[in-house]
Amino acid sequence: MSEPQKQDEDREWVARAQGGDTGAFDLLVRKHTPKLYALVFNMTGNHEDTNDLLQDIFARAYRSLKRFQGMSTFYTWIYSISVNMTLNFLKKRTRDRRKVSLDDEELKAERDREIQEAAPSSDPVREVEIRELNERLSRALRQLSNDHRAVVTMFDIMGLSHKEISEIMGVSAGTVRSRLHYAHRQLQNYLEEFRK
Amino acid sequence: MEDFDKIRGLLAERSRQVLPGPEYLDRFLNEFHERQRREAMSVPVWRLIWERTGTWLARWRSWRCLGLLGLFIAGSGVVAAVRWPQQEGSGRNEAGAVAFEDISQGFGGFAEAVMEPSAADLMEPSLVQIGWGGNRTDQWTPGFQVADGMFVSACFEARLLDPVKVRMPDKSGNARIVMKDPGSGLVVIHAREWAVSGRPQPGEGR
Repeated sequence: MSEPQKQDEDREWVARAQGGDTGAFDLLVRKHTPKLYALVFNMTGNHEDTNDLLQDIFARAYRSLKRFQGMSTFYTWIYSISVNMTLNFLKKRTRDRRKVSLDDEELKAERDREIQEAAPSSDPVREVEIRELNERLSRALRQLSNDHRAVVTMFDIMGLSHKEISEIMGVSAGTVRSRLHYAHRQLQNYLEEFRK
Repeated sequence: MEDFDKIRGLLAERSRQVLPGPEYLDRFLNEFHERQRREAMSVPVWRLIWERTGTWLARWRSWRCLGLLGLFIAGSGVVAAVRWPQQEGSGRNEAGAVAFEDISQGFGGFAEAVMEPSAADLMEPSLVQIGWGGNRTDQWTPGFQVADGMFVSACFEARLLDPVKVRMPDKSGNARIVMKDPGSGLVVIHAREWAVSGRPQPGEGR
C-alpha cells in the first residue's frame, strides 16, 4: 500500500471514529501500535513503561480525536502525542528515580523479560548474543538526553525525515539536524568498538 | 557518515528484536477496552448524555435542528418568565410571609431587600417571586437563591439583572449581593430577612 493510500485509510477510520465508531479506532490502534511501540520503547528502554505509556497515549488520542481537524496526517498527530507524552514521562522518571526501590527495579526487569520472551526462539545462543548487543545499545542510548534520544529514535530507527521530525517535535528542521549530529557523535564515542 | 551507518543498522535491528510478538496487539487492545470501560463508568451521567447528544447532532449535521432547538429553549424561557409570577409558592422558602424593610429612600430608585443569612453557602439561580422595596412594588421580580431559604433579586422595569458579585455573610450576619442593571447601574442588595414567594401586598416594602 502506498503512502497516500495509507493516509486515505487513516482519514476514513478517523472520520468513522469521530462519528462514534469505536471499531474504527481499534483499527487505528492495531495499525499504529507496532511503530509507536518501537518509538516509545527506544526512548524509555523499558517494556512495562512502554506498555503503560502506549495505553495513556491512545487514551489521550481517543479523548482528543474530536478536536483533530486533519491539518496534519493522523500519523504525525499521534507521533507528536507519543513523543511529547514520553518526554514528559522521562522527565518525571528522572526526578523520581531515587524513590524507586531495588525490588521495584527487579520486578520491572522480570516483567520485561516476560514480554520479550513471549515469542519463542529457536537459537538460544544467538538469543543471548542479541540480548547482550541490545543491552549495550540500550546503554549507549541512555547516555543521550531525552531530546537527543528522541531524534535518533525517529531518524535512525524509525526512518522519519527531518521535516517529519520537526513537525512532530515542534522544532525547526535545523534544530533536528543539529541534535542528530550531536547525538551521532555521542553514540560513536560510546560505541568505539563498532567503528572498526 | 560511514561509521554511523553501521551503528544505525544495529539500532534498527535491535528495535526489530525487542518488539513483542503478534499476540501482544490483542492483549493491548483488550487492556485498552477495559480501561475505556473503567473511565466511562467514572464519567457523570449528564456528561455522557451531553457527549452522545453532541455526537448525534454532529451526525445529523443539521444546523437547522440546532437553531430550532435554540428557539425552543429561548421560547420556553420567555414563557416561564412571563408565566412564573402568576404561580404561587414556587420558591423554596417556607418561612412565611415577611414584609421587606424599605430602605430604598434616598437611594435614587435603588432597592434594598434584607434577608437572614443561612449556614448554607449556595448560589443557585432560579426564578422565584419576591417583592422588593422601592418605587415599583407591584413588579414581579426574578431572583436568585443564594442560600437555603435566602433569596435576593432586583428588577428595573422587568429586566433581569445579573449578579456580578456575591459576598457571603459578614460579621454582622448580612449577606450582600451586587446586581447590575445594564440600563441604570448597580443595585446593592443586603440580605437580613427571609424573602418569600408570593405577590407582595400593596404597601409592603414601601
